[in-house]
Amino acid sequence: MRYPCGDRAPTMIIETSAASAGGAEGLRHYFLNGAYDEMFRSLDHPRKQYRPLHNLLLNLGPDELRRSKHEADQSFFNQGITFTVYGGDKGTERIFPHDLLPRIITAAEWEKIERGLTQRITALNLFLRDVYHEAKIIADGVVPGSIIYTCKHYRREMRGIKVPRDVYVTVVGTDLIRNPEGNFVVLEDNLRVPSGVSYMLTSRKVMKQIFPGLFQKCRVRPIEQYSQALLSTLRSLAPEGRPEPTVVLLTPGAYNSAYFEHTYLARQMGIELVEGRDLVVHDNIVYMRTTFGLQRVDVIYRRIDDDYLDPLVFESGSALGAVGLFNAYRAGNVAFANALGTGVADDKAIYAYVPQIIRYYLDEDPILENVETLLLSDPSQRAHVCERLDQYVVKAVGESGGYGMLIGPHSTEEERIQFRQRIQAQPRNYIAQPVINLSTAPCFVDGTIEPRHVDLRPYVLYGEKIVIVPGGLTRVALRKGSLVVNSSQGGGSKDTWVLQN
Amino acid sequence: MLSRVADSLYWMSRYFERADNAARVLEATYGLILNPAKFSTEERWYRAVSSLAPGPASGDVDPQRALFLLVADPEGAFSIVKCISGARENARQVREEISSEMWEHLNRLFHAVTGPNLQPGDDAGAMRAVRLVREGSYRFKGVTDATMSHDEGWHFIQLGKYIERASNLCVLLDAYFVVDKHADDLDWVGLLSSCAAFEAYCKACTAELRPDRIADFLLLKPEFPYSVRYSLDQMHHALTSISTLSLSRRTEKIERLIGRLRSMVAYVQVSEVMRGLHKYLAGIIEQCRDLHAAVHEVYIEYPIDVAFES
Repeated sequence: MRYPCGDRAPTMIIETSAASAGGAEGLRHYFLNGAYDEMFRSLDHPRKQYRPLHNLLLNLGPDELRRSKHEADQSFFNQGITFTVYGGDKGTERIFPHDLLPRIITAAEWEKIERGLTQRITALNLFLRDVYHEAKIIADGVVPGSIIYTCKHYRREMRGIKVPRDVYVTVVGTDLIRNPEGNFVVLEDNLRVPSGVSYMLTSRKVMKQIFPGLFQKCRVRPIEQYSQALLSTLRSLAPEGRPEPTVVLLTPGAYNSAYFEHTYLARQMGIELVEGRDLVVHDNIVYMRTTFGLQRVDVIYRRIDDDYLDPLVFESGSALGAVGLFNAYRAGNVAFANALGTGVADDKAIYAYVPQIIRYYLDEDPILENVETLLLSDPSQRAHVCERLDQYVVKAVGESGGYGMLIGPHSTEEERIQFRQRIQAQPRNYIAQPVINLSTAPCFVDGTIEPRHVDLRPYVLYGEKIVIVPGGLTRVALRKGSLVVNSSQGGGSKDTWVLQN
Repeated sequence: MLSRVADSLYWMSRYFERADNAARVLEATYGLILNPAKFSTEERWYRAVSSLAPGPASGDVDPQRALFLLVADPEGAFSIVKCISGARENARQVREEISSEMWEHLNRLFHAVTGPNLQPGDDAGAMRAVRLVREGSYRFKGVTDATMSHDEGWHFIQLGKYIERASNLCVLLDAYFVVDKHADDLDWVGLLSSCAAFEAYCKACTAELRPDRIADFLLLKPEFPYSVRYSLDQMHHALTSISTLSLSRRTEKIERLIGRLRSMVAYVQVSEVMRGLHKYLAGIIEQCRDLHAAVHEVYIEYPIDVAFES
């Protein structure tokens, strides 16, 4: 295959076989630090799936990489792919930090991830149905009621409500990490309103422009069908007797940090982007105000937390939702994706029980392992952890986004004292996990290629059936040595390439 | 189309037109003030302020501060910077509805105008911002027409633009013809330039500046885009298109109001109008306000029981 001349197509990296003098320079600073490295078995032996990329990196000088990086950033900026950073006197829009080099996952690895996630989401969904109906799992003594009913996100109002197709978790983003043995394990289930999928979709578009040849050579599976899959998943939840359902995306508005994603998905699916003030509930039916009158709404893909959906039932001061939404939901006249109260299943204390939950409902062993988790409500585990805080990661159970977290080995004595007090005051609110050395992947940082820690968030859709597009968001801890990948804490992303068999 | 979206598009357009109008008026006024005048500069500033920032504050104008107040005052509700921010804020709420070209253009203009952080007394800086807005607004209108589908949303943009323009023109004409009794030729040039009309007027009526002809041109000329007649015709066109597209059955009131408003400029001669010009202009402004309220009531914030009846 021939490529046009370099000067005339600066967005495209020229892939040749002859090694140029500047090329190997880029990889000279690479090192292995005991974590599983995505690219290298040892520094002389790149893994098979990474060989085309490795060859390319040997042949590219830092200037070419820098130029491509610039082109990629420019492309993100022009497309307006930004998120809002809070703090200071006003929110400012930044582009999402993006690393140039793709993260590659083999077909075999993906096959296991796909089976594992399908199993896990099926079980968690059955768990949610059970918790809000018969609660057999409590009666059978598998998960203690004391833990379920003390969850911050348990919603008593959901007791006995029938949700469409018995599907509670329609859109899931599960965080996986790879341990030093090379196995993918689950770090966190995000069952409420997971975000980030727009970065997965837009970064793929940019990468195809920048590495067309490499992309083709690697035989990467497509992810572009995500928006169609999401729309048909949402439509499948529509109330009966609504063959042409109206689906809307409910956003908190232009000041939300994920507003770009909301506009992006609404546009990709061709559905209305509504705010709470656009919705009106009358006789338990939800309508949106349009210029030609009220139009009935059947399915709401809501990107607002439970607490703010309906001031009559939840936070009474909230202006983000609409009055009466919950009653319409209870009457079965409108569907929410995700259902309310799903946060009980991604509580970090419940997380510790997921292997048992899978065995209980499916009578199978978990395909994807959990990270070892200590419940600090248990006195002996608490005592053990409090003495060794410098060796553990401590997390608040109801938080996400990397907030409310102590990373023992990187903490100061003062922080540890503070956390010890917090744990003693509210033990149910905390769990501890051993520090896990997340796998590393090559990243282009400051003109050289260095290893950085990464995780993986695939997106699972659950309507009529479970659909997982082959890919996800690989999040990168861009600071050297850091293990925190959250975008609010200095993380970035990489395109994730799942290979065809 | 969602009512909230229609409302944001309408206001985006109104704020932009308001900024554009202020820019033209200020450019013309500033040009006048540089000349030695028969009458004091205070009076000319007073005329500009009273036509751009109506309210009790317009009575005592400090000429040193007038330009700053009208261009960059962060407190003032009528400054150009405030209007451009208002337009951008509305556009930001409906980013998925307007074209990326429109957003980029508006965003760039916003940063160009707010970036320099103008101080009172910096006349050159203020006039630079004025020029940016005037040129930017022509471009924005072009980009809007060229890149956006001419559907319901676009018609709401048109409606906002022309209702704002008609009202602004009437206020401006009132300031020149009624409030200011001793306008000279230079002032008439100023008025025409404020409406981007000097060349068009000369073409139609030669450079002989006769107040009644100027009034005729700016009020009743159906072909000139900055005339009241043209603006009302465009409003009528936008409203008809919206009611056809939205299939609304509650538009009788709007049809009545716009019909009456158009007849005020379509079936009169300038000599009749000149006899009671102030009252005539006030009548048009009043009816534009009524029309705005009626549109709001039918398309944007209709009561729910009404919606269920129809």
